[in-house]
Amino acid sequence: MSKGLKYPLYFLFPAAAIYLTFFIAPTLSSFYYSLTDWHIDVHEVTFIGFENYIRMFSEDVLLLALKNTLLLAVLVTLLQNLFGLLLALALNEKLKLTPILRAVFYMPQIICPLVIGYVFTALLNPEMGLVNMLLRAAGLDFLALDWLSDPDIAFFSIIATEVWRVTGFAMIIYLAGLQTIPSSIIEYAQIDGAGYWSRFRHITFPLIAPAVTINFLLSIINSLKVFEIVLVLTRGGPGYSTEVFNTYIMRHFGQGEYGYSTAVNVVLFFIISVIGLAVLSILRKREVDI
Amino acid sequence: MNSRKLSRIILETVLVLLAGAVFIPLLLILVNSFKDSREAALLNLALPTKFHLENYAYVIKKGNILRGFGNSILLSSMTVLTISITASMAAFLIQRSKEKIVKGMYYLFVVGLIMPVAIIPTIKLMMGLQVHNTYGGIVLYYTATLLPFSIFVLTGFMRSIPKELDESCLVDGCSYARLFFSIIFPLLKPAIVTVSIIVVLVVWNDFFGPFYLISDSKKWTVTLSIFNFANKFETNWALVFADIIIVISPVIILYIILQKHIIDGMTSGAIKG
Amino acid sequence: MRKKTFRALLIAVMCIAAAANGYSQGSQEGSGSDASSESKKPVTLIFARSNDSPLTGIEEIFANFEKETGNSVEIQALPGGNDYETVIKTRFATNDFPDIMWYFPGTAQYDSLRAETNLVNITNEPFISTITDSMRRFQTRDEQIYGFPWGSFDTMGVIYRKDIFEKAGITIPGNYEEFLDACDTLLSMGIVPIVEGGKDGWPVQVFSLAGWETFVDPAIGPEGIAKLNRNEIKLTDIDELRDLYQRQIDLKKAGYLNENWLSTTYDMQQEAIGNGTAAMVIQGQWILPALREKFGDELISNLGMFPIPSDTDRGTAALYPPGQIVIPKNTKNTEAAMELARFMTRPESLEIWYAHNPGIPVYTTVGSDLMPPQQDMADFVASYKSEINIQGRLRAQWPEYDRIMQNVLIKEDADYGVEELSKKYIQDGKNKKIPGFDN
Repeated sequence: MSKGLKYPLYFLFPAAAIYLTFFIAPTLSSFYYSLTDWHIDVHEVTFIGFENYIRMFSEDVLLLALKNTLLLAVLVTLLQNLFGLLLALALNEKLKLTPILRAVFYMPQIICPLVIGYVFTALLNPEMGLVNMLLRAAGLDFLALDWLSDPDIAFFSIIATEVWRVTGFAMIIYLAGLQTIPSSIIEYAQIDGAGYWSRFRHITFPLIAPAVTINFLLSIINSLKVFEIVLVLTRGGPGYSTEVFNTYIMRHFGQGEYGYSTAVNVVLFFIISVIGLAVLSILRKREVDI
Repeated sequence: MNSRKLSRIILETVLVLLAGAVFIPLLLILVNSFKDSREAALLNLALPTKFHLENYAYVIKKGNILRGFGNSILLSSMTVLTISITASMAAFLIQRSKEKIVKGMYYLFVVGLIMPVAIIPTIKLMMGLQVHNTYGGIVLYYTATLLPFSIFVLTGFMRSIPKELDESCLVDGCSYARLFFSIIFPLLKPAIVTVSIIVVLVVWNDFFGPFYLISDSKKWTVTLSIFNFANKFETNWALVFADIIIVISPVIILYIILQKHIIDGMTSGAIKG
Repeated sequence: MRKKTFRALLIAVMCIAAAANGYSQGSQEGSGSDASSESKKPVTLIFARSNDSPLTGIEEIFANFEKETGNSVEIQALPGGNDYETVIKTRFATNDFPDIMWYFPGTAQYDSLRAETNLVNITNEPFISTITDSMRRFQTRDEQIYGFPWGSFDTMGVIYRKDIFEKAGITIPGNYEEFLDACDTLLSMGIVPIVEGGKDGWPVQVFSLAGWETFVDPAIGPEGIAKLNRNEIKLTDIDELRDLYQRQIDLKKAGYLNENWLSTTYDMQQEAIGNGTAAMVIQGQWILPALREKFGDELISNLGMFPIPSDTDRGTAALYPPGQIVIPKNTKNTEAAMELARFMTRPESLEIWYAHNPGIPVYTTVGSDLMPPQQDMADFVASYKSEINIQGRLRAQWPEYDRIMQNVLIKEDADYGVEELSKKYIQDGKNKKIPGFDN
């Protein structure tokens, strides 16, 4: 009987129509636009081949943005997962406060990044900010730095803010993974006399491997798309020291260089796809190995 | 056993301190939003010497907050409506049908979970279709960008609805449309609620989309109005903070009430991948 | 029961469709009905301005306008600088016009806004004849005028505190050497000689923009500017520009800038001058209304101003022309917007403006009390050399100049600055397909 069922295709039409028109079509047309000299002041758009892509190699700022974006993605991903996992392991100890703490740690995730940017601008203010006030009160004056204006430090302040913002998300995913582990398995291991680390290494970690995979994938992809936090905290400055892909694209869009900024967006698209797929396949393989 | 108890207490203390690290920044904006500009410029956690409620009145008047709220509510509710209907229809077919074209479309949706938006061509397209700068246009944009996530979650949920249900209904002679709308759709409700909450949060908090797509300030959402307000009054932290408190409080209240739904919703979207 | 659900759903779908339709049409329909009942119903005009364009006084004029006509004006503050240009051009491209708006100075803007098709031609408006001759010429191209000037010529240069100069026994420097000596004296007294605002970026460009007229113009002459416009010489060929950047770097190296210059905002620059922690700021006169608002007339009368001196004389004043106000042609409120334009240029409105923003008026119907630093520069311009800011004389622009100059000071590398600027300048000319830039 069930083989005979022929579900009509029209159920897919509305979603497919909207998605193809407003998501896939612009994505595909961006390949074309990236090969043109489309600019706000020019009324006629001409095809210029790969000129926009060739230009990228001579743009030091773009190369810096590439480096920054990748470095940020790697550091945020590692730290977010490390802290997220630690928090999840702690909360999984069935503490009285677990439900409240879980809600608190997750909260930054529901506040818009723009607002978090403003809040941290205030916290990291060199003269008045809470961070430097606490450091000075603790007698650590030499650590009370100019967090957002020193070209050598600003980038790491952005990473710290981003980690503060996203750690709760990783924690929730790990917690959900941990809760799928039957307590009987852990108990057996305890009876066998396995220590905490060994239990974690040989039982817990392999069982939450899917959560690791998804967390790494999502962290990397989202960090590569970082935008609002940088926009508010430093606008990519001072100089170009904290430039990332999306602020670079925004600036060139702002100057009316539509063709060129579309080309940069295409590059970002490929980087995200390649890294996303690579991370996925590496971690999936490991899941089996463990 | 005693050492175990001790370690628990230590663990709890550490966690509470960390929770403080999450809370303090939020406390900072709340406290300073009631101060006058000079006091707020000190950016500390001291209680205001006098509560300046007029900050809020000023912000509501000057920041066009009410209009922003109206726009955010309108856009998020319209997006929720279009998403819940189109995505659940699609999820129904995707989970049930074995046709290649349907599977192919599903993969195309899944790819959209990862891909960044090609924003500039989107603007161009919207201009071409004459929906640039209209509520309809931005709802379509949000629908398109949130469909992958929604279809993903709903398709997962569809698996829990037995196929026998379809068969018995169709044997009784009802049409596929009737089957979906009167039987499947109501059963999808829990998942639709989850998806809707996430959609509301995303639309409410989004900056990227309206920043590029809405140039008419009458249609700006609250998030855009924060950006504009903060740019204008960047030296007056008291006002900026009051603005922020007004804008994020609905989200925080929603979070306190629906905390479980929100967290579960975010997790279900991720875990099933 | 099931039927009910289905029907409810159908209704919901129809509502969305109707709503989406209604919203996209709503604005157009609204415009139709408004146009037919024109001045009967009071309208709300949208006045677009960039965040960084002058505002003080304008709200008062708009309030008076509302009192007289019943029409209110909503001020739409858009992001400043380059972002403003983009937003406006994008909106123009989609036929989404504000009713009236502030825009950057000069007739070159007639091109970018496509004035003939988009803007009301105001050449024959009576108030045009009240604009000063030189300003009217500045607004005219092919005998047509599409925008009326708003504000006054600002000058860029060194604004200083007279009391500190007096205490230090410093007089206005007669050449660059004396300027450096003055900085040195101030430094030895424990006063920050020059407060620089690196956080916001743009204040850092003022030194080289104001210094161009003093150092670069005499070296390359008008012919050099013409060649730059045809891309026949490169900015990297101009040694004086590199020297100019080096001078700014040397100011930093010598410790003449505030130590925290990189985290100092425009706002903090004002504070430093107002509180007297710094003796000088290299800025445009647009800083004066803000200073007066914060510190009162007492501070203003304590300030003086001079151009950046050259190696041999007192230098050349760099002029920054006032912006203009234009009225898009095809909006539903064009008539009411023209009414507002006429209202704004009445003597009593202009008086309100110039009372808040003193400067040499560009209208003959009104006088203005100049603030002391403005008087200094007005005297200087009248008796000495002045030239319009270089960016106003080039067809291609200098995108991201603020970033470049921030980096020049961070890296202490003048060569980097000249090369980066040259690259951006040529790219911009190429983007705009200006002849000479195409390959």
